[in-house]
Amino acid sequence: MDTIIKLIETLPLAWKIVMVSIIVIGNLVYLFRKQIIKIFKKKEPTINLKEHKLFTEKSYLIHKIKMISLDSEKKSKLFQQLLLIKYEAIRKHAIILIENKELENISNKHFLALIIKNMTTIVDEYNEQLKFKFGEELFEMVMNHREKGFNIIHEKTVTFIKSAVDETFESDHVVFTTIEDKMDFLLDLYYIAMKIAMTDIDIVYNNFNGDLTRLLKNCKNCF
Amino acid sequence: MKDKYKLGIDIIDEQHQKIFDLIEKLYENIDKKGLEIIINELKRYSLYHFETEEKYFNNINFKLAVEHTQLHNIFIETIDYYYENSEKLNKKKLYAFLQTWIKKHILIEDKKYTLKENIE
Repeated sequence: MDTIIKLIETLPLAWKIVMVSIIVIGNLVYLFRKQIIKIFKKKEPTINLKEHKLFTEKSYLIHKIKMISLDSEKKSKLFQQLLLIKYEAIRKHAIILIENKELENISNKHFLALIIKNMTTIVDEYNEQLKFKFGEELFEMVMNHREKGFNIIHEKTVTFIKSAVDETFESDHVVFTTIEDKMDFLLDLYYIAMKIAMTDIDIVYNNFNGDLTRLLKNCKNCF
Repeated sequence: MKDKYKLGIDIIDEQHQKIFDLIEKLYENIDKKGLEIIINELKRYSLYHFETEEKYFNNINFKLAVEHTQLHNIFIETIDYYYENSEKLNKKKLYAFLQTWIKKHILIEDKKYTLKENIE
């Protein structure tokens, strides 16, 4: 260090300024090296989440839902409405989640908490809308029945997504290296959940076919 | 397969072992085509295994048969999704997911049909 200082002292003023600047900049670079590396390492996302099937196959999914045909037009419409409203809630809140700028710097723990919150919001929202659409009696029967209702049947799928996200990220977080990667996996699960909801409808339909016929017969303003 | 995953029902333990082996194959040095073959085999064999389990549920009058069958459907739907979207097939992700799923399924869900209180 002493040699460097002596060497600098022998230099003309302009060179002294240059040398001191180099040393100062060098030290600053060393002090803030982690932040600098982070800035330059930042890559553009490789996955375009808005191109996920959950969004791009909107028409296809809606078509599949509208193809559901049961033993009466009212029953078909009832379950079609249920699935359409559910799909719209999933799509809307999945977009809100992927557009959340705070995700970039979020910890794994907070990310998981955010996903759970997102899923709860989806369930709350479609239940709220269906309550309005179906009316109290039909809603309580089709959605909230404690043994046969859609919510209790579909609960298995919701639990599956929660634990899949939780355990897969926790157990082998090296596999999912970027936030886009994690989000892409979550959107896969949302898409799978939507497909499973279509088969859950069959279970619900078979659970109380007769009761539904009676309820829908008396329900003039259901749709 | 570790002892903790054994249920004490020979045919089912053998099938679980086979599923574990198939999932392990995902970690071998395979190309995309090889991966698709394994996924297809995993789906085919899982369907066969679930059928065995569901027949067993009937024989023992397992109280939670309907709920358990639903979990099988979720698994098959997931495998189907990744098979149909082969461009997304990433063996590391799939391995992490399937390993976790099968272990938890055996330890929590399958254990239920070995307990007397769940049999009518």
